[in-house]
Amino acid sequence: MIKKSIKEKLSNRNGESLAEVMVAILVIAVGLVLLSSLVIASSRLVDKGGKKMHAIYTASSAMETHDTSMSNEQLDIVSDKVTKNATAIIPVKAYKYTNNGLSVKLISYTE
Amino acid sequence: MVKIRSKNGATILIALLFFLLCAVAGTLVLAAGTSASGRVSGLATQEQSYYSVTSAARVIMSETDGQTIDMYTVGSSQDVKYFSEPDSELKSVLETASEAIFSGDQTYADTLTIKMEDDSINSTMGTVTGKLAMDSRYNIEITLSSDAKNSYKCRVVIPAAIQDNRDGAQIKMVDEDGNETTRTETKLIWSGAEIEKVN
Repeated sequence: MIKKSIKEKLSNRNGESLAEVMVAILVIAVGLVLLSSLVIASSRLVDKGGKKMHAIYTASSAMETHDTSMSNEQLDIVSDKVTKNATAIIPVKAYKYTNNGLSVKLISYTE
Repeated sequence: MVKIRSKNGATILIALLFFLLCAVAGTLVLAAGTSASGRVSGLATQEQSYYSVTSAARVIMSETDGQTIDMYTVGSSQDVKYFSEPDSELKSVLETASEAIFSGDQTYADTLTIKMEDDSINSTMGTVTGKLAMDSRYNIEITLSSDAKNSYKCRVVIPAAIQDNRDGAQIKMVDEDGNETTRTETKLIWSGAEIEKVN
């Protein structure tokens, strides 16, 4: 029944009215606009992700080689059980890498 | 008018098929974008967690590796005295743990909270927590993790070695009043510390 109907439609030589064609074009246009904006937004997302990932690996590499800004800081180690001198204050060198544009910030320290 | 009143379903079928195709394509594109974005934003947090935890582990390792302790008690007194104490910022932690084992405890557990004094650095690095455990042979294990979600975890293992065969050694001695008393001594060194990853 459906096959027959589709066959009839395909072999039918009657055209559609202008209004129907315009509505069809409108529907297709809206669909294409939505799809293209989806693709563009997603492509931007992936592009930004790629840039951020590159920035993180660059930051990580800089942290390993200590190719970053360095400052003298203090580290506190507090014990739950020790009652006398429970806080150990240890001077450390802090290595900080910042990429403000992509909001990547990594910090490590050594004695 | 004939078209409007027509009850043939072919048009709506094609429209539904087209809609389905668009929906599937849209969902795939969005899913790919979202997962890539989510993975990247979590990566920076994981990297920071790794540096926070391993930095703390390295500092603890250098503060404990090579430290010695030489302690004793006299007679039945539980007051632990020292021939030599650890030369480390973690001296109080090492002494308290060792005294507990020296006094007869089988294990000792403590929690160390490790953080930078500078608040701006601390807000990025987070707080690292170390679960310290000392066994009856004075071996130390400290398991470190940060307060970040899915934190990196590692363990600092610091073996202890008894020195001069003095593990609870009993030495008979005579005090100033001429009374015979016993001194119990233990001397040890923590060396060969290692950092292990915890899954």
